[in-house]
Amino acid sequence: MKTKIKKYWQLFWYFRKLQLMRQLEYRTDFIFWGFVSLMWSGFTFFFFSLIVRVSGNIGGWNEYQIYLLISVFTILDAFTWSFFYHNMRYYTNYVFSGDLSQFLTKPIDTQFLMMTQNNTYNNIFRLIMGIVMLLWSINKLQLEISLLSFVWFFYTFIVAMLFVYFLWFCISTLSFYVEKLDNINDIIPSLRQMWQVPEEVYTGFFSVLFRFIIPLGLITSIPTKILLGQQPWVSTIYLSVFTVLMMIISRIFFKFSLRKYGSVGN
Amino acid sequence: MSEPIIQVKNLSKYFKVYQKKPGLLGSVESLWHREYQEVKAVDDISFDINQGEVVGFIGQNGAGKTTTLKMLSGLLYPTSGELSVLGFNPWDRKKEFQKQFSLVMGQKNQLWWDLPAMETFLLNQAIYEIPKNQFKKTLDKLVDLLDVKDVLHVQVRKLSLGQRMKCELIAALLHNPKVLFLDEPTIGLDVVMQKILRDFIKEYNKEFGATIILTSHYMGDVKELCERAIIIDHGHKIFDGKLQEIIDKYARNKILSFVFSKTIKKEDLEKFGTVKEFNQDGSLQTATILTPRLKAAKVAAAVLENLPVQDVNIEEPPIEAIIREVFKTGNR
Amino acid sequence: MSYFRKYLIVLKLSWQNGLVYRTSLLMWRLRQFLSTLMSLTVWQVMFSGNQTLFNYQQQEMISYIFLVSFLQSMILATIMHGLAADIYSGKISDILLKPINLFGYLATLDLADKFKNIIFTIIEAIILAFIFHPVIILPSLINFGVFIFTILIGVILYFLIQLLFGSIGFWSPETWAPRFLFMMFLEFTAGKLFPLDILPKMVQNIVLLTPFPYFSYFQIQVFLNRLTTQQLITYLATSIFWTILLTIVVGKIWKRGIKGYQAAGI
Repeated sequence: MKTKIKKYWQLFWYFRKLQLMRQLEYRTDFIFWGFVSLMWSGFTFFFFSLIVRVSGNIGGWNEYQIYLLISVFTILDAFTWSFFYHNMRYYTNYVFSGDLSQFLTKPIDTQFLMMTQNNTYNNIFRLIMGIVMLLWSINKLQLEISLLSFVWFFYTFIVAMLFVYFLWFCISTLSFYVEKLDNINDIIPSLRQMWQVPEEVYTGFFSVLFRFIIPLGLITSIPTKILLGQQPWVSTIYLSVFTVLMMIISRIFFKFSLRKYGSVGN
Repeated sequence: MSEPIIQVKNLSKYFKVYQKKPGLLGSVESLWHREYQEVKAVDDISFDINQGEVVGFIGQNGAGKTTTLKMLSGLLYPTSGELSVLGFNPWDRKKEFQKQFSLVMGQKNQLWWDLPAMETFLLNQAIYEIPKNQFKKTLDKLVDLLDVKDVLHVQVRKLSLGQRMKCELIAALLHNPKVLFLDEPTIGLDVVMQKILRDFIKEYNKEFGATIILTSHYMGDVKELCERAIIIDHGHKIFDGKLQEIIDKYARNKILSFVFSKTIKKEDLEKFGTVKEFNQDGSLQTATILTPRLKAAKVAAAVLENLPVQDVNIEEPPIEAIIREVFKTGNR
Repeated sequence: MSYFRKYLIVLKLSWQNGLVYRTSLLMWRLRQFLSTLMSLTVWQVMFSGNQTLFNYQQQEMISYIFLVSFLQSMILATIMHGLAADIYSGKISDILLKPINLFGYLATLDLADKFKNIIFTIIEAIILAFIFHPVIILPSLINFGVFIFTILIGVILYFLIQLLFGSIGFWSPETWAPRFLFMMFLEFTAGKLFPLDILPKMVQNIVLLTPFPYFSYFQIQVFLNRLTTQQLITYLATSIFWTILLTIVVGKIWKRGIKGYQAAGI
């Protein structure tokens, strides 16, 4: 068991190294996307600052609290864009083209391969920007973050990312069931707007939908609230349970789809 | 002799294929109702293969060769029947099994496009858990056999098709698979590359003792490499035995080609056998006739005696023609 | 009459093709629907504390977002994403060899795509109307006439832009980068996130000189009767100017590209 974990751990970092080598091959691509992603983040900040300055608050959050939220979002998004997007895109491509076969014959867990092989590094600028904005907002809000809060924040941040990941993986696994679906990979990213606004924005039906049924609305709000000194126990537990559930569902769904892949032909 | 390394018993694989009616109306109708047709890709096939054999699956496109290979690799789940490779059920995809076989499909590639082939090799070393010494030894041997020492550190996308194919092969063989499945390995390659590949496969089988199944619709592949051939037609096995047997049994005729020093009449030649070609090539007259195999030598001698022959050649019909004969007559 | 029949068949085939890949279309519409939903939700919340924001009443803003989404689906629906790749790979030689005009062919395919999208957009609009109750005041007959005219300009303008991006294919197969940049600017200047006139005056003036606002922002302002006569004339002139300019530029580039294309004997 221990050697198995070691093998996967080594492979994970090996893939990161390979991708770095690849990225360095495409330097202009790296610069361009780094610049574009930075600009995109800039626009987002600008837009929200405009809104919040005129309207006073969004969902009860004031200006700098919103900035804090946006910076958490930026950091999260930098990761989702770098890791998840490319893995998912390649994953669905492999399924459509039949190239998945080459991974099925290797003595490595296929889901692991699908989930970890690809990534880019061009969101590094955005990540830095997000961290800077985070620290700046914390400073402006004069927050004192205890060690407990930090650890808690870190935990919910990871859980939130994993939740997005497993949900996304489930949706991408739908590619086994349809003939050609380029757009399937872009559903979750198009929901990113949800993570730019505090959860209080949702009322009525949508509140139930995005805070309970599929808690996408909580993704950035919960970690940010922890930084703001709040203690959202219930939401944390809820999100954790949900993520574990998503992980199990995605695994079962994937295994089931693989079996179908093997019976219908590829 | 120990148990056969590959055992296949009553293997079948049926697919459901959509039917769509043509035209706009058909498209709209297919939104809620689709008709299916069952295709029997593989229908009750059985065979055993022993260690070290090189077996060729011959068949037309869509005969079921690739489907069978995919089932042997664990990619497809059989509709019915039993199969075992190296004592494993391929569908279980046990890691122990996967470390011992390799599937190479003609046009598909596993090398990382933007990086040198060496990087993919190292990756495979990690995936297959190949010990360092063994890795180096195998790599050196393969690189030597295929003569690609200089291209290992060049980006794959910059390599020629031939070099790429060689590196793909190395990547597939680094873990010293005991069983090797080759699906249309020479497809799309030029004549020179085809020969290089075939020579390599022969060498590999000799050096490493691997059991090899290869599918191809290039007769040259099969003729060069396989002693034993399994002919598959519409999902059925219609022949399983030595290639020479097929030739002996089904090649009814031999081809005699002549070059005559003087112009002759066609009827004169027709006395000796079925005339297939009869041409005037400048001042030379050329012709080919078919005669039954056993009589070939006698007929050739007769023609030489009676007609002004300048040059003569006796050949087997191309194996494609022979196989066609098999398909025509051999359907059980 | 038979001259036009071929375009009709192209239209019909495009429809059939679309029906085969219906899930792809569905997914695309789902994404569009979700992003419109997000936008409307966020604005509704922002207005909950205020009567007027950025010189818009709540109803006006909701109506704006609602209408823009509707219009965008039509104007921005296009199949020409792959044009550059098709040119670069030589695929369009097929069309060039046939007695059918390439631009006519592309325009027909585009039209088919727009129709497909419109049908779905109507359904989405009905759903969204139920939730957000936008108040749509129909414009006067004259205004409506101008509105239709501006839509025509918008469609032609976007078609020209797609041809421009496509022409990159004469020299390189990759257009993802410039295309992404374009979409990003479009989203932030004249998208369905917010109307252009909430941005600072100076920014507005600069943006109004670019073609971006004339794909849907301008049209909706006409519909909502929010323009002074002077603005109407100015913006109309600008949009026509861009149309003419792009026609000339695209014409020149394509001529040169096709010549080189045919010379290479692709």
